[in-house]
Amino acid sequence: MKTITRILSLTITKEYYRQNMVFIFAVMMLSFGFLRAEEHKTIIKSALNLPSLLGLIFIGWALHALKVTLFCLRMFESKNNEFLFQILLFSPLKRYLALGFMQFSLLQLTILYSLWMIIIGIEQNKMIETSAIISFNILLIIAGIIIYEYRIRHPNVVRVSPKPIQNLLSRLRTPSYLFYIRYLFNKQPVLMLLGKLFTCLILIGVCSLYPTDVYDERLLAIGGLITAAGHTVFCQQFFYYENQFLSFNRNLPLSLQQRILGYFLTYSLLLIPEFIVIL
Amino acid sequence: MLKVKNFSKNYNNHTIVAVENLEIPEGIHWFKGINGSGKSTFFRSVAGIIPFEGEISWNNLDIRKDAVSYRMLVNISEADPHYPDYLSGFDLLNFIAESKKADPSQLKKLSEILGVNVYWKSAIGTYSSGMLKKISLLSAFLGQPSLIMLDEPLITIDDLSVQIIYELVKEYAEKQGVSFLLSSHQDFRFEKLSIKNMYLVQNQTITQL
Repeated sequence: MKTITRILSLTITKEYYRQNMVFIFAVMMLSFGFLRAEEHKTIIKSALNLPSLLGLIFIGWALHALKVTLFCLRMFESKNNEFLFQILLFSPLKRYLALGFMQFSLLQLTILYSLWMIIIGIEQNKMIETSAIISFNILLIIAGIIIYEYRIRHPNVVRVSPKPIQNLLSRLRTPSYLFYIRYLFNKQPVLMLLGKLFTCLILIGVCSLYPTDVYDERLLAIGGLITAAGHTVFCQQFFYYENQFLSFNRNLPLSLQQRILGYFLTYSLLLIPEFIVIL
Repeated sequence: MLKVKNFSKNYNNHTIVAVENLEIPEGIHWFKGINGSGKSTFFRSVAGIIPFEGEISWNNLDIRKDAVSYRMLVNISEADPHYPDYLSGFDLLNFIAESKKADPSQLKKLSEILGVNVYWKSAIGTYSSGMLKKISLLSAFLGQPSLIMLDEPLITIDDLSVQIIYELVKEYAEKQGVSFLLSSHQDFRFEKLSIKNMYLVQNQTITQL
């Protein structure tokens, strides 16, 4: 049991936190940098009284769990981690416990917040809501175990599914400034979706304040700052991607201007959704 | 001539390779050393892929001061190449060829010689290790390099490809005067080439044999 937990922790959990350090930092900064503890308590109390708000929080947790689960599946499918399929040789109980512990470790960001909600729920005597929070967290862990168990039982599955966009792209030549964008679509679709959704919603929120408020450039600047903070995740991924897969790039005779132009083109394309929102 | 002066590469305060003074003339050179001796680290440093302390220059072009012109002349094929698996070999080689200012006909010719053109439009993730290695080897011959480093060039590729690599090295060395640094931990692989010098990478340094 110790061996299997340790190997999962080293190959997946540790790797997840290493790769998502900036994402977690950005979430923490945005959650606790703009809202004080007292305001969080007010939100939690409201959520305990309003099922719709609680449901919204559950959707947020489910999206986070989806991000975590997709990461794990990608790690299981990675060539470097093919040895992980040996886990099938352990007894089912040991396997389920280890996979459950891995999912629990990966969901700490939402589990710790739910723990706070549970404490307040008990204080407020909101037993049904508290039970719902506990049950939802258990459900996310069990769902993870089922998905990972399925993947371990079906290693290296060849998917026969139509991929029209990928088929089209394989026929065309990919310019270098699209390498990273294709990486995001192929390898980090959830990060891409959540990141863009977050930054666009922030900008929409800021822009929608203008009709009711006096025109103030500082408001847009704050929106821009939060959007930029949200984008640090993409910068961190870019750094990881370049070091991991494009190390040969540093051997290429590209001048500083050419490299900067490449980054500029990539980031300009990456920022298209934000440009559309602002315009 | 490749000049290496006060070179050292450390990871977490642990020295991998340190060379006080090393001058490697033009020609084909063989770097020997056991696994983990630092051959790849040295090659990657000379290629400008990883940072290091000290000075490296090729034909009086400094790796830092003349970053672009140096890299135009110095190519590398890594021992264990890692590329984005969703891109095709075609995408990747075209990018490298373009940046190395290689003639399109050169890429076409090399891809046909190595048989890469048969599969290069598929995603890299579908390649075997030998197919991937051939993409890496091909990339090292692109452009007009005067120094090519081939790190463990003969591992994972089939016998026919080994012969092709020998021929390519010979052709580039004899006809175009390209110098080669080859690394291998095996003793018998480069006997068909006219090796000028042999170097041993051992005990965190490099010595000429």
